[in-house]
Amino acid sequence: MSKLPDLLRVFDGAHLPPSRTYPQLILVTSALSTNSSWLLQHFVRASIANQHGSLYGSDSLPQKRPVVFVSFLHDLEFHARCFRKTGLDLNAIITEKRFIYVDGFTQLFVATPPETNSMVYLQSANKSTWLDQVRSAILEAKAGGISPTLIFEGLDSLHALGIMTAKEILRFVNNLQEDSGISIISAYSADRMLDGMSTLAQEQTTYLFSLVRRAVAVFSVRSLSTGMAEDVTGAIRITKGGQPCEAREIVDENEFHYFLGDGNIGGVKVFEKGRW
Amino acid sequence: MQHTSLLLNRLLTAKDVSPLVLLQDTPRQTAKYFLLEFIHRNTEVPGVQIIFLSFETPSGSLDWIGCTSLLYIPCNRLSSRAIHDKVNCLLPGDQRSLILVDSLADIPAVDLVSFITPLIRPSSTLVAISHLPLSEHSSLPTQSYAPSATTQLLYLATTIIKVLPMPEVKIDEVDEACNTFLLPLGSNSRQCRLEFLHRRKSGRAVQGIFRFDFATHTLAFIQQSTTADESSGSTQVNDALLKDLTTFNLGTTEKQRVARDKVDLPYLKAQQADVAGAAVGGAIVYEFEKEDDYDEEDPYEDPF
Repeated sequence: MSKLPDLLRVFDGAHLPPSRTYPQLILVTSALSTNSSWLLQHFVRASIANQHGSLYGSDSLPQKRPVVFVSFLHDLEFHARCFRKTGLDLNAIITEKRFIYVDGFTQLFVATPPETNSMVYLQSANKSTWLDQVRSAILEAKAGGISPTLIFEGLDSLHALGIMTAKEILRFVNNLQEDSGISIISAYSADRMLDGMSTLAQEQTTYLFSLVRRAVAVFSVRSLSTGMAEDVTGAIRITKGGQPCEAREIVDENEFHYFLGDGNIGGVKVFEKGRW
Repeated sequence: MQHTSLLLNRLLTAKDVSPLVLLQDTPRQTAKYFLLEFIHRNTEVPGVQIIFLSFETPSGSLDWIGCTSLLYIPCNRLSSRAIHDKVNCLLPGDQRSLILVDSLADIPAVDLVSFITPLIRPSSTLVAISHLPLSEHSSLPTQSYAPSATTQLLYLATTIIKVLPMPEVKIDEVDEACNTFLLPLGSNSRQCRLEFLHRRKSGRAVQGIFRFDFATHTLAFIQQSTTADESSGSTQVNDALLKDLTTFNLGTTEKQRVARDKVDLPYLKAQQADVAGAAVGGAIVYEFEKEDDYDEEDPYEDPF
């Protein structure tokens, strides 16, 4: 676990000082057989804690960024459990308004009367209000003066469920990006979801390739092509996306192996290939 | 060869107008660095108006280039009509200008041509990125025999530049086995390969392959190794054919071939250019001789 931030610090996004930020996108792709939640959780920790120095030298102090996490794949309880394993108390940072969870999973199709707690739920019945709901969450997180890191999990399930088309999702992201510093989006990249002439495959291809072109960095999580191993869960590759970032290279390309213990929840080890 | 690189340099500096420059890229190698090169080369040039129509480039992300004459227009929420109106507003006269479009992908296939044609102006160069593969643009319209949007773009374009990754960027066999879309390491680098095709007004096409580096802002012409092999191969074949055909020696020896390559061709100086693309030599100087019967007052006597 302790090695994870050191190896992935190359592009945390959390380093970027607020004065120089403009919307930047980081794409996290994963195959069907792998799970990228652990990487999104790493970005949450990196953004909130930001133990590392700034990339821009001493003139700009490292900033701790609040996080707005929009998920269509998991409920808050799942992430809370994972964070607990790594020693981060989610409830504490939620009460401090440093972490706002927008739940698009629990009540997507079930219209229950809104509860009294401050959770934000997205429902497919009133998707026209989603933009305002997420935007107000961003503004709430921004109250401290620092634009938050915006994380989307499982947005591609929206076009698979027929709630939005791929282009509508991209527009949704685009509109929200303007209010936040860094956006991180997860998308599925398995060949089985991209090949073929079905509408589903074409939409997913449009979605994935559009995100690759908009992203400054792409983190690809995949399982080992050589089969299963006891001490390695999969590989992660960091490459540049299609969006030029700065005059100099910020994204360090690399490839690592990782190991998820405890049934894919919590403890993660990231290590260079062949170095366990 | 020299001429092709001169042509591309002149296009980049907006000295030559090519009504529609189409940049084709793939997820593995973005054309955006080459698009930014158009801005970089015209930053300090007075009289050239640069307009950036942005569909996927967030505002503020071009600030680091430091181009003050750049007009950025976010087009996400604008209709084609509104975009045309804005451009017409910004370019009222026949001003020398560059119009850059960062992506044609968001424009519906049926509207693509009607989006592009009003942006083509007599003294401006329109540079647009068309992303490949794009199923919506490459699929055939259902109700007619019309060509696909991508094909129509290729008809319209006067210059087509395919942006490819450097040959060093290779897809690993292991990568292919993992059944997922994966960018190879080294993708979307600032160095890339350009396949350049320019259609002149006369209809003649000029082709060339370049290596482009955004870090140093250089373009290097790549001699196509395949054609070089072919030509040396063909001379050998010719020599073999000509041998013993007649009593004359029709072949060329290696020494003769080298000597022929060294011959200084006339007018070569006229084709040379400095970095900015301006010609440095080649003025025509006519010296009158004794026999010339030249009348200064006769306007039709001008030897040029």
